[in-house]
Amino acid sequence: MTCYLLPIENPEARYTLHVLRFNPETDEKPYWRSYQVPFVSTMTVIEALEYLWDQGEYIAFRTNCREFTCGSCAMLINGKPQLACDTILQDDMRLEPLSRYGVLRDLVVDTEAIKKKLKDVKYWPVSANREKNFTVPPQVIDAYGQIYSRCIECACCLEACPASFNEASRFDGPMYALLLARAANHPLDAMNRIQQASERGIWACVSCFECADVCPLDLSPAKEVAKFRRKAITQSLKRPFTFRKDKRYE
Amino acid sequence: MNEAPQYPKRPGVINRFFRRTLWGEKMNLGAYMWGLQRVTGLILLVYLLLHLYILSSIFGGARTFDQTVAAVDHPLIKLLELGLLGTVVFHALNGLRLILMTLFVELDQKILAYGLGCATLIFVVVSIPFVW
Ligand code: FES
Repeated sequence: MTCYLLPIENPEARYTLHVLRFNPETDEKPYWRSYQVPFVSTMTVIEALEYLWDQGEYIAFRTNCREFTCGSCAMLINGKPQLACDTILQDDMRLEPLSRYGVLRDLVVDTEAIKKKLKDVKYWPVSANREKNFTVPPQVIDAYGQIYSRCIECACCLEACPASFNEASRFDGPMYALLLARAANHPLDAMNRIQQASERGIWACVSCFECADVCPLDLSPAKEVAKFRRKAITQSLKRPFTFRKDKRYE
Repeated sequence: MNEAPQYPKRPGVINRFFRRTLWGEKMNLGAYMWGLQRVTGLILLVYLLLHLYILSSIFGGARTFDQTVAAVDHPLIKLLELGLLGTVVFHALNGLRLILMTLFVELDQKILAYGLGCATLIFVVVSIPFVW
């Protein structure tokens, strides 16, 4: 692994970092270990972990882009799901793996469930007529640029959601609601996304807006859930007896 | 890839919320409101059972009922009644807040939350002379 170490400003000043470690091959239980990291005012948590690698402390963690674009470095920092590359290191920080998924080692979790879910449920626009002539309205492009295309699928919102415990929960989770809204807002999408959202448990959302709070990109999946709910209500008011029967999306 | 190895049980939602607050990472106001909605809901449930229990003393005759009612006629009970009133108003208004937030997506949940807190307080204070 290549470490991009920052110049150390003051080798005397040190921060303590607590990491919940677990190696399934050797450990029975996860355990907390504390490490000393030199103080650098701009050091992120990822850089601190890389510094520790350089010192021979091989804590397993994921990182790729280091600029909040790939979403792979999500972990619980002081109990709050955050991106490690987007969090400045503070003294006495506690790092844990996400609790929603099985732990492979230290801070690395098994996110296969997310990929499987994305494949199972069609979270991308499904076009009925690909030949159809259309122009994308500017407000759709705006909405995509500002909201729908920005989700990096880091799973922070899934971790924070108190209404969705795992991929098998009645409510899939905020991230999936946002992806569903992305598909629904595509001009060519031909599926009945409102009913799909209803069946994927948006009514179990407790509107706590924790997902919006923890989202590193300031998106608000809870708002998309509310929009889906409002649309479902208006739609069922307009066609009270047909709404549930509409199986177009199957 | 193999199945994820068996990992000891992780802390649940409530545990995580408490730890997080303890470690200085405050949660969103809506999450606290959600917790309060659950707690007030439970209080109302307990109250309902208590209420039915006290009412059921009527089956023992008018005298027994009068005795039970006299037994609960105590300043402390009055205070609890005020608390109960606050609980009911908070629970109802918070439910209304959630409906409003669904119907009008752009509403600011902070204003709504503080507004409902104030409304509950005003309601309780105004009803003191009626309860006492
Ligand atoms: S490393 Fe890509 S989001 Fe943090």
